[in-house]
Amino acid sequence: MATYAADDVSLYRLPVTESLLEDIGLDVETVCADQSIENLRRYPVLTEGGWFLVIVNQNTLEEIHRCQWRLLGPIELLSHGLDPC
Amino acid sequence: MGDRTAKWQSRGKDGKEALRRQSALVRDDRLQNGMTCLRYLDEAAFAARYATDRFAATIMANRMRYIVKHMSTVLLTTSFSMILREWYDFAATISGPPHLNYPMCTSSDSLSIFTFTMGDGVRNIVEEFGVDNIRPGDVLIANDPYRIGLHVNDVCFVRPVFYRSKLMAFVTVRAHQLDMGGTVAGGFSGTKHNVYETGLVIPPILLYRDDKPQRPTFNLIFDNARFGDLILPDIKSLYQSLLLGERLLIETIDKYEEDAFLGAINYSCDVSADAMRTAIAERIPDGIYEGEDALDCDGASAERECRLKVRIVKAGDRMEFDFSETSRQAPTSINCGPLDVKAAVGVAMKMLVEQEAPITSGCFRNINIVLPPGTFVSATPPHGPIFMYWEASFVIISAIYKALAGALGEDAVGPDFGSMMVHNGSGTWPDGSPWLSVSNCGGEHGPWSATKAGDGDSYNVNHTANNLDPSTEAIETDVPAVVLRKEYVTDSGGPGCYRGGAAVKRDTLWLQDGDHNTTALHTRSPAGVGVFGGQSGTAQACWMHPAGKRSLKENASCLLIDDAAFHDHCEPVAGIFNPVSKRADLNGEFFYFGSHPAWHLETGSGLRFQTGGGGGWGNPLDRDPAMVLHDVRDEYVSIEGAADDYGVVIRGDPQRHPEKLVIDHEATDTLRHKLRSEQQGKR
Repeated sequence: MATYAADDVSLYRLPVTESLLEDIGLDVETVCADQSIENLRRYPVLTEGGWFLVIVNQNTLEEIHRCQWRLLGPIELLSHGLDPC
Repeated sequence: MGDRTAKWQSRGKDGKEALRRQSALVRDDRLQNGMTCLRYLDEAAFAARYATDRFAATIMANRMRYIVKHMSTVLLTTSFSMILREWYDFAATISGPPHLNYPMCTSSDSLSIFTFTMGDGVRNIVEEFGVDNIRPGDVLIANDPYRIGLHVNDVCFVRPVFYRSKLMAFVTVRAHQLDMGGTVAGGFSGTKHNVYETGLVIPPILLYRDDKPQRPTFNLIFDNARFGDLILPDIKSLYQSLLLGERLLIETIDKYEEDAFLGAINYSCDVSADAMRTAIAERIPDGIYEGEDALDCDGASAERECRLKVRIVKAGDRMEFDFSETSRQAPTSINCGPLDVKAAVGVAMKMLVEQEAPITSGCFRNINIVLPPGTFVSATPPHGPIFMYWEASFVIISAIYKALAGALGEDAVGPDFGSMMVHNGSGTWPDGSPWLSVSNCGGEHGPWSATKAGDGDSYNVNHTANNLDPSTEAIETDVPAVVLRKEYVTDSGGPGCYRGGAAVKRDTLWLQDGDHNTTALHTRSPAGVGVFGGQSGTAQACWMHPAGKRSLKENASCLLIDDAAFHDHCEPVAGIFNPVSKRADLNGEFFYFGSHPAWHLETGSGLRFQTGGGGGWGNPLDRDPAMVLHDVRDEYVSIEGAADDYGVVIRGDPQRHPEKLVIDHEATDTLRHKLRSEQQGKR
């Protein structure tokens, strides 16, 4: 049986911080040269290739970064509990 | 896009490596395809990207379409259940290998709402099962809506295709199985309360290994599903369809070599991506667009509306569809899941802005969908059950149509009849054997709205499908019913310069006792809304006509001939009715489809379903009076409707002397002048 990861609603349109950009390997200076960090948000999207976690400029839809998210998006399988920690 | 994304990469080596690891193949693919349209690639650049020349890539792409067509033909001509052989309720696709991230490069002609889910579905099935665990001769299956979209009856059959021991592709068929267990025979019901009631959920498991059937899997299905004697030969037909697809695909790889074949897979997806990106950039102005539509209610409460809200942001060549403000998930089986939303967005974009390129996973390259969990279009298990998923899909499509109608202007498209109002009936024959009728005798087929190209068709499948309508002969052979009527309803199509398709009235007389239900979810307002100045069609409705103590012949007469007697005896099932006359009336009372999980009807009872009407396109006062005359002659429009809706005055008797009808031009000019003044006054 699948279940739903209840905390996922909090993942939507999170503000982006400089430390987050650094953590994912982006150059803060370069990113912020053309735009305000205030315009950036991070959230999961469904698109070609499945679910991705993206950082998007909310004014231009320009994608600053994307990485693959969970295979089933917000759905987690209880059987994942069988995996060794 | 690729260049712009690359700009933000960290200058540090470690940062770049971390980014490379985090980012998926899809992102690299975007980088490769960047902003360069395929048509501008020279031969050298094309060969570098696809490991083949443009001509060979096109040949292989066409050959893959030929393969899925033949896979479909095998299934259509050899399957046994009516849902496959008469409804064409299946689709076939080809997907690329894991190292390309399973690009779905080819899809069959039938249900687009299936094919748009199948690319992700194949990935999710194979990844969960384990790429390293599959081998030649395998067939994997799954049907979990939360893993692969749609509903449990739509089982996905996946066949890996190996060439010289390398995994090169997958051929896949997604096909509706007649039954998958659960509380309702056939499954079609909007009143089931959780995933345990909707039916057997199959995770990714083996159906065949080394081309040998896996008996535990077959037993799992037949121990839970009804009508196994029909499902077994259907699955055998499905297996043969996959074998044919595999053989033809291996022949293709053998002829063109591996790298060129993989190049053709990427090329096929890039063609769709390029076409969609160009259409987005050129046909929709930058901006924010909002639209909404709603299901009347769910299957537990007549009062709980399910409202879908979409906020579309379009900037340059990209679009984002955000469904965050949509109603919470319903406690009954009228929900759908995220892959169904993706499919609905794909259908809407194909209907509205890009019709030239084939359906592939590349259609979504420049489209992001934002969809928090727990809405009625992103339902979660176990208490957000999914079965009647298409009803939710329809309101997604309708909301997108409405949101973009202003931006598209004369290219706007109105929704179809909006709710399939599926009928599900079951019972037993006199010898005790069961019968089942699914999606044959309700409001499953109906009209489309008009477009700038002309009047809306009045009898069609919905916008998400491209399958068949079961023949009356097939229905009456398999099911104890007589199809008494499939008839267009006068004055039901939305008025417009081009008229919306007419609502369809369908009557059936039942020859055995049985339990019946329907899920009518768009009765409170017309689904077929008008665009570009056109007006809406009528709303849907359903009645039953209990047998009472009348003979079979008398009941048939009530349904067919004696309208007054029908309304004397009938009981409204779903819709808005005048409670006294029991005729459909949007100013009347709401009758709730979920008031009974099922209605038991005795032999001789009847059912009447009336679909919604399609919406009109353009100002009805601009319709050519000669076309209105034809409409009156053909009973799409009454003489009163011609005057009230179109300002056209027709003289004569359409019933007795249809060829002697004439237009009163002078009266028409006067009436149209008056109606135009009223229109301008309202503005």
